[in-house]
Amino acid sequence: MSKLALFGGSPLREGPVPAFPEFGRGEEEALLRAAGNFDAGLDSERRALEAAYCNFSGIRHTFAVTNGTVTLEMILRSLGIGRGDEVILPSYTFIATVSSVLFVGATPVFCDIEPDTFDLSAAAVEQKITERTRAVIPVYIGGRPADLDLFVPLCKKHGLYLIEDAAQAVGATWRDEPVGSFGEFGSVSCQASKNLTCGEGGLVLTNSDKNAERFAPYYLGEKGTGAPLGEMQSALLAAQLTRLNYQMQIREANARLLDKRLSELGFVKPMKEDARITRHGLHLYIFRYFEEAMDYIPRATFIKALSAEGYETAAGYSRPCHRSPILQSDYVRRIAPTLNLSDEGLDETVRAADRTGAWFYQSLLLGSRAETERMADAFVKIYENRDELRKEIL
Amino acid sequence: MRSASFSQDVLNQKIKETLDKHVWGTVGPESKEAARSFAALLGRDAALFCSSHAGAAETVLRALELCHGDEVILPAVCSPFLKEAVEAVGAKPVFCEVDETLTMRAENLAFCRTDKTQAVFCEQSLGYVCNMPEIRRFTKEHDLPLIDVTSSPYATRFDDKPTAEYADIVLAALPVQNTGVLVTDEEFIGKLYAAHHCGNPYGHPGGLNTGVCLGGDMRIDEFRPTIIRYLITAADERRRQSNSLRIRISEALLQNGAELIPVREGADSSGEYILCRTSGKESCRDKAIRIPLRAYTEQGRIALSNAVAYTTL
Ligand SMILES: Cc1ncc(COP(=O)(O)O)c(C=O)c1O
Repeated sequence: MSKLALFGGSPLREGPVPAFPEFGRGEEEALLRAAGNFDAGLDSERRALEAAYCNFSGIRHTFAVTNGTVTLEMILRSLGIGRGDEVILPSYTFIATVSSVLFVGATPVFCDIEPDTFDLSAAAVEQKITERTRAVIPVYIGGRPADLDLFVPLCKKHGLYLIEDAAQAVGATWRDEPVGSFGEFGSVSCQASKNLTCGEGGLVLTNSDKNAERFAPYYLGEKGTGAPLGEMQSALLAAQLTRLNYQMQIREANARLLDKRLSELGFVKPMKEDARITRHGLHLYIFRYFEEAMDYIPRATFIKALSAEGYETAAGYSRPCHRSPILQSDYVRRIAPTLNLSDEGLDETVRAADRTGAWFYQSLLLGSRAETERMADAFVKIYENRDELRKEIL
Repeated sequence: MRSASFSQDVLNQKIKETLDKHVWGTVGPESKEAARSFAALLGRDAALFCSSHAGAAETVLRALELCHGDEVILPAVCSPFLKEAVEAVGAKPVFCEVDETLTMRAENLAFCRTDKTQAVFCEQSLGYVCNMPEIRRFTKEHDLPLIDVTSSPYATRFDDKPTAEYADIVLAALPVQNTGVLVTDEEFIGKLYAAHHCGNPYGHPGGLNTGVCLGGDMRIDEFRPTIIRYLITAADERRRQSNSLRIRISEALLQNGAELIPVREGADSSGEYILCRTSGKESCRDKAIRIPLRAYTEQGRIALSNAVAYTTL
């Protein structure tokens, strides 16, 4: 039994962590081409990017804007959502989903997630609908589409807008249809950590001509505070898009391998398989950790040990949004006086945040198959060394 | 924004270096360094780049914690993004009249203020300069934050000081792919940062959802700051050029019988544009540029329609 890297043993990782973002001549040429034209008002690179994304994904309309928060804010504004309205969304998300709702003056209503997907629970959403509810924002955590077989009819039945926060789910499909095509709009983030990036950027997606029309003035900065993506970033993003397909294939193969290996272990579990997810965005590889099956070694200790083996692991959203101190501020109270920040009804969110949730970032999935095998071996190694690891806590 | 000292080759080299660093966004070294240079240029403590002019305006309003029920004073002729940002946070824009330089009339501020007023924005429209000492006196007297909006923060001056020095916050609307930059002092930068960012508080090394930033996420990529840093080094040269161009174009306009609108006494225009009275000389209009401003009151509309602007860029 080899010694844990945490205690001075050799880490299992052999090669370097895959460098991300990858780039080459194409990116360089694109940037330099656009850098010769940095004045505002030009749009040929952006238009080319938008057409390329439509072509890549099969979505009808793509609008490239400055980031994946402004996208949500602009979408909400273009749908006329504002003061007095309620928007249902998970607390298990990045704060940007919540801030976009507050920014239009509406009230976020936090709703629980499914324990085996960490995506918003459609059954829980139905309980939260009131006469003030205008929209539901499922967040495709880690790149995994929510159960759209449930959300689409649910929103239809109650006359609610479905807005897909696909910040982490670029390229994902549900029953072979692209994310962004199920709701009124989809929102993608192209921020530096994301699978498709130009440093900072965002895409608004829709299949509806009517929505595209009402979104246009927001996109062009005539209304609201959004702005189209600059030419340099557009050019860079278009070049990165040409890499997305093969990168997705590598991540998919490695994730399948991890799913198989982790499901053989008792103390961790991969997320639920679902054949309706025809393409997973895999921004994150999320798994669950069960300390009771690991001699009650806390998640934080396990994560430290796994990271020390060369496979950086995060505890995910260990502070769900409803526990965020900023939401208790007087300013937020003024915007949304009825905002409910209690844990009540958010059992699965709290469990994922406090105890079970753990993830790898996407670039780790870009490694070789052998490296991914070693990544899975690291779980076994830690399990075998659990007695020693326990001493770390004492 | 281009000057004779601008070299596309040097710029291209810098862009390649940024690409090679693998850090393309999320407040990397280029944006930090550009922010430091920009703040130093204006003699202030700190600066923050924003992805767009409108995003910068919204960030200021969020940092000031404005929402429905609040009022914000804007010049009656201003860049439309200012009005949009005020309305976006739910506040009400109140328009203060302008004079023929298309900048705010300081004397009119008193008519605009109510007990709901929370901030005053002035704009150095087209490089013409407001009466900064008077506006400052008013905002100080009523304890209101003053935000100076300008596209040439290093060149618009009043009584030999940058207009930036009169304001609590400067919003520089740069023509580099719509970039906005906010410049202020240590005291306020933390608040601006928290309104701008989704993740960590100002100066915090890392971590997700630390819970103290609401974040409109207005960060910019690392490529634009490369250009901006480069342009900052060329700012003085650019100012000299545009001043000499302004003199040449003004002389030519005067010879053709145009009536120039002078800059305010004590002010030093950035010289980006020259405003003329139309006074029936419709032919002037042919050569005029499209003014990127909108008038929001009747007098503002009259002032705007009486003016023709020529660019010196
Ligand atoms: C779920 C979710 N929504 C929204 C965003 C915001 O995107 P951006 O960082 O581009 O503003 C993110 C980004 O991390 C995210 O993960």
